Amino acid sequence: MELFGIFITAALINNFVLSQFLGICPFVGVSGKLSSATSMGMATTFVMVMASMVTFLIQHYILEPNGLGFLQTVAFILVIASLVQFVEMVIKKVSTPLYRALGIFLPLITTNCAIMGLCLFAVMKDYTFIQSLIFALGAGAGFTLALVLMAGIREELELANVPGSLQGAGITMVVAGIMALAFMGFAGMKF
Amino acid sequence: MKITLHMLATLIVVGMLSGGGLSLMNGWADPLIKENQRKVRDEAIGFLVPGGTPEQAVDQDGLSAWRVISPEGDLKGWVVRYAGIGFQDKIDIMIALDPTRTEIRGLKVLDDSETPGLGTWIRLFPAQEEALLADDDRALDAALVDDTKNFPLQFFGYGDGQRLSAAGDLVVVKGKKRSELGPDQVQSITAATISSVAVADIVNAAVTKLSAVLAEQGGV
Amino acid sequence: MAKKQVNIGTEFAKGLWDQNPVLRALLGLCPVLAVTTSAENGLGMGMATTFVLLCASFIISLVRKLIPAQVRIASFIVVIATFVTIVDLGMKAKFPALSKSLGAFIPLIVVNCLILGRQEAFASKNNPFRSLVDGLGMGLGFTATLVTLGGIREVLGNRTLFGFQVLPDMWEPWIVMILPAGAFLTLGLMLGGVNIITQRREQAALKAARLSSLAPKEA
Repeated sequence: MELFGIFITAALINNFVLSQFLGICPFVGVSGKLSSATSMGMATTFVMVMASMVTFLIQHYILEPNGLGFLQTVAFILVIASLVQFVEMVIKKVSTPLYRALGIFLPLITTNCAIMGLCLFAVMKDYTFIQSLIFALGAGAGFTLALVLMAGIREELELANVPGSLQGAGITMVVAGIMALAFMGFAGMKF
Repeated sequence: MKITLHMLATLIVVGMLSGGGLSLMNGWADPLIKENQRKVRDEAIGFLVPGGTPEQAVDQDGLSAWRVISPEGDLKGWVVRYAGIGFQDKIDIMIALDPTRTEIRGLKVLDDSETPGLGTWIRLFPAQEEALLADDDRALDAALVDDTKNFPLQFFGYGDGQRLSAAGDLVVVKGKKRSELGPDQVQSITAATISSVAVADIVNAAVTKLSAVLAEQGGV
Repeated sequence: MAKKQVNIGTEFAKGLWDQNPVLRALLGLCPVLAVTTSAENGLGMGMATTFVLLCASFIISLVRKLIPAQVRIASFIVVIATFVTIVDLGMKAKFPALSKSLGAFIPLIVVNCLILGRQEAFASKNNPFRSLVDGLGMGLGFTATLVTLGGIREVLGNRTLFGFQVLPDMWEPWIVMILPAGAFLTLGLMLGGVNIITQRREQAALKAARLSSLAPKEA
C-alpha cells in the first residue's frame, strides 16, 4: 500500500512537471504532437527506472560508505549520460523500428532535469531500492501523462485562434499554468 | 590506437582533476557546513528553553533529545527534535517539554517545504519569536495575525496559559473557539489542515518515541 | 584567412536580449519556473548559474584543442558538474539560507541546457577571453530574466520585493503567483510580451530600411 502511495504521489500529487517543475524543456519542446509525446514519455520513463536503480547502488554502496557524498552530482550525471548512451546502443541493436521512433529523443534525455531530479529526490527522501524503483515509475508515468495531455491540447490549439505573440511556447506555458491549477486538486491526498 | 589512448588519457586527467579539486573544496566546506547546522540547532534550543546548557540524552533513529541544565545544575526542561512527512515533504521540528515531560512548552519548525502562504503558517513570525523571547505579552498581542495563523503559538500556551499535553495524544480540531479547546486539542490552520495535522502527528510521535527510548535506557 | 571577428560588444550583448537564453532560446526553463518565488531567489540562482557558466567556459575554452571530439561531451559534463559541486558546497557553507531556498535546483544546474549548449556552441570553438564574454552576456541575460520573473511573482504574491514591502497591506496577495500555476502563467505572458516587442522592432527596422531605400537619390 505504501508503494502504491509513492507511485500515486509521484505521478499525480507531486507531478514532476506541473508541480515540481522538472522536465520542462521536453515538455515545451516535444509536446507538439501526440505521437512524439508518447514516445518521449516512454523513453524517459525507461531511463528514469534504470537511472534510479544504478544511482541508488552507487550512492549507498560507493559514495556513502567512503564519505564521498560530495561527488554525488558528478557521479550521478555521468551515470545518466552513460545510461542514455547505453540505452541508445541497445535499442538500436535490438529493435530498429523502435529506435527510429525514439531515436532522436534519447540524447535529449541526458539534459532532462527530471532524471537528475528524480535521482536526487530519491536519495533525499531516503528511499529503499524498491521504493526508488516505484518512485521512478510514478515519476515517469506522471511525466508522460503531462506530456500527453499537453500534446492533446496543443493539437486542438492548432485549429484555434491563438494571438501571434503567444504562439508556440507562450500559449504552452499558459495552458501549463491552467493544468497546474487543475492538478492542485490532487493535493492533500494522503496514503 | 593513438586516438583511443588520447581519449582515455583525457578522461583520466579530467576525472582526476575533478576529483582532486572537489576533495579540496569539500575539505574546506564540510566543517563550515557542520558548524552552520550546529548553530541552527543551538539557537533553536536556546530559544525554546533559554538560560541553560543542553546535554544530549538521546540520538537514535532520527530522534534527538537534550536535557537543558541551568547554571545551578537543575533540569530546566527537555528539547526534542524529530521529523516527519508533511504536506509537501519533510517537516523537521523541535519541541520544548517541561522537566517532567508532561507538558509542551514550545515548538520550533526547523525545516519545511510547505505551501508558501498557507502551510508555512506552522512557523512563527519573526515578530512573534522576538516577543516570546522577551516574554513580552503586549508585544505578542501586537504580533498576532489572525486566529488561525497563530497555530504555533498554541504550543507555547499563549493566551490562557494552558499548556498542551505531552502524552502523545494531540488531536487537530477545526472551528472551535480558543477557550473551548482542551489540553490535547490543537486548532488547525484554515486551508492548511494537512500541514497542521502533520505537525501534531510529528509531535505525538516524538514524545511517544522519547518515552520509549528513555524507558529502554532506564533513565528518567 | 581570418574568420570575420564579431565585435566583442555584440558578443556580450547578444545574451541579454537577442539570444536571451530563456526568453528567446527557451533554455534552462526548469530553474526559471522553480526558484523564482522571489526576486532574491532568482538573483541567487542566476548568479550561481553564471558563475558555473563562466568557470566552465573558461576552462573548456582553455583546453579546447586538447580534448578529442569523441569524448568532448563527457569532458564538458565532468567540468560543469565539478563547478556545480563547488558552487553547491560553497553556498551551503557561506550562504546556508539561500542554499536552503534554492534546494535541489543548485545541483540541477548541471543539467541546465544553457551551460552545455554554450560549451558546445561557443567555448569549444573560441578563445578564453571571448568565451568569458559570451558566458557573461548569457549569464546576465539569464539572471535578469530570473530576477524579473521572481520580482513579478514576489510583488503580486507576497507584497514584497527583495523582502521589502512594496504594496500596501490592503492588497490581498495573489497566492497563486507563488504556486506553480502562477509561474507558468507569468512566464507565458512574458514570452508573449517579448514576442510583441520583437515583432515591433522588426517591423520598425523593416520600415526604416524600406524608407531609406526609397529615399530619392540625389541627382
